[in-house]
Amino acid sequence: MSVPFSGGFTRSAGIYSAIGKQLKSVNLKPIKQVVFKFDPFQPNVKTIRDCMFLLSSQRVLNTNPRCVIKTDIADNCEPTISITLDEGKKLLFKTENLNTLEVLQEFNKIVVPLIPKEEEIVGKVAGKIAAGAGTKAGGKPKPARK
Amino acid sequence: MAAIESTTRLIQFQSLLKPWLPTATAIRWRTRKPNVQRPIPDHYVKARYKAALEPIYPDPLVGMPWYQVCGNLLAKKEEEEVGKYEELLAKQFHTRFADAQLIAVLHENSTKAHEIIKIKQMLHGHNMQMVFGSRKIATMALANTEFEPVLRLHVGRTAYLCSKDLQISKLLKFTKKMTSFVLLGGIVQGRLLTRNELQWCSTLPDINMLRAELCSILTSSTSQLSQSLTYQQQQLARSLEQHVKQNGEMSCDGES
Repeated sequence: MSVPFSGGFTRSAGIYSAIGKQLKSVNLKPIKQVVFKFDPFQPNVKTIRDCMFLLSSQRVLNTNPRCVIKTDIADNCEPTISITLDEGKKLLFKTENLNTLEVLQEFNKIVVPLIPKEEEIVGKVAGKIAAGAGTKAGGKPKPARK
Repeated sequence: MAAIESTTRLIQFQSLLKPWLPTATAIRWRTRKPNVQRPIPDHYVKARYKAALEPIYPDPLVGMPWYQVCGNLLAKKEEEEVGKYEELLAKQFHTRFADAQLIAVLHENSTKAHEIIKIKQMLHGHNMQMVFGSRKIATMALANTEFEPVLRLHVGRTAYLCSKDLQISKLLKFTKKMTSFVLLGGIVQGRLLTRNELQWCSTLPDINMLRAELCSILTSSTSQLSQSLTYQQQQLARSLEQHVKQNGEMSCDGES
């Protein structure tokens, strides 16, 4: 009798690689506002500060230019990320005892299913648009110089 | 005689202690160039001799306890050597801190180099300077100094804005313009303050005015005390004077 194999075939590439993978799927489309609130003098603020850095990158911001990102620095408060969705719902991440990776994973778990799917253009319409684009790209032939 | 013996012995030893030098032998070839990278395997007998003469070293892990043999256990971190360049950076870091009267601690969000250049241009000529450094360099520079409490705020990406003048409102104005930096706190004349305290500090009037106010408050109580102590005597003196005046008038009237 043999023991069935369980587990991964390869070793993990490390925490930074995992964060990078999560960061690739971060999308702010269904989000209206993100507020980072923390007291920098509290001990467990590394997570929220790292998240602030990661979510302020240009690539993430470009996913939704209308999304407002705020930082609120207050005295004696626990580090929280409050997110307002387009639907009106609010999410609150208490990051005191969380890891950067865990925050990103939870964020993606909630936000990624809410991203509106881009409608794929199929059939005749696609052909027409394509044809129109083709003529546009080509443009009218310039009148020959006399 | 002894000297001669010792020298002869030395010469004998020298012959033994000659360092081994790899010798280059010239190979004559005409038809086929010898393959240096993948040479022809040795003749069987030669190969056997070579294999027999290969040294066998003892396994270093034999006889060691399991906690040293196991490779999965994390080995103790060896103390890292501090590089000269790091030392230089730390020194620079500390001098900038020591020169400044006012230091703002900022959280750095992801920025591009051209944004930082713009900020530097904005600060140029205002006796202000941005100071960047990793946690390692900051600890090297600031540990065991008066600025040690700042290291508490140095978590993740942190930058500092050092100002040689004590103009808090001006510094706050500049930090507002830096969109990718978030003000966390600051050091005002060697005292660590939170962001709110910094803002309160900016509303305070000039320190010389405050000193004058304090002086007036301190002197007012002493003057009041002296006044209250001498009040009775002064009144007595005044009434006596009055009495003398009245008596003088009366005597004048009597004479007339």
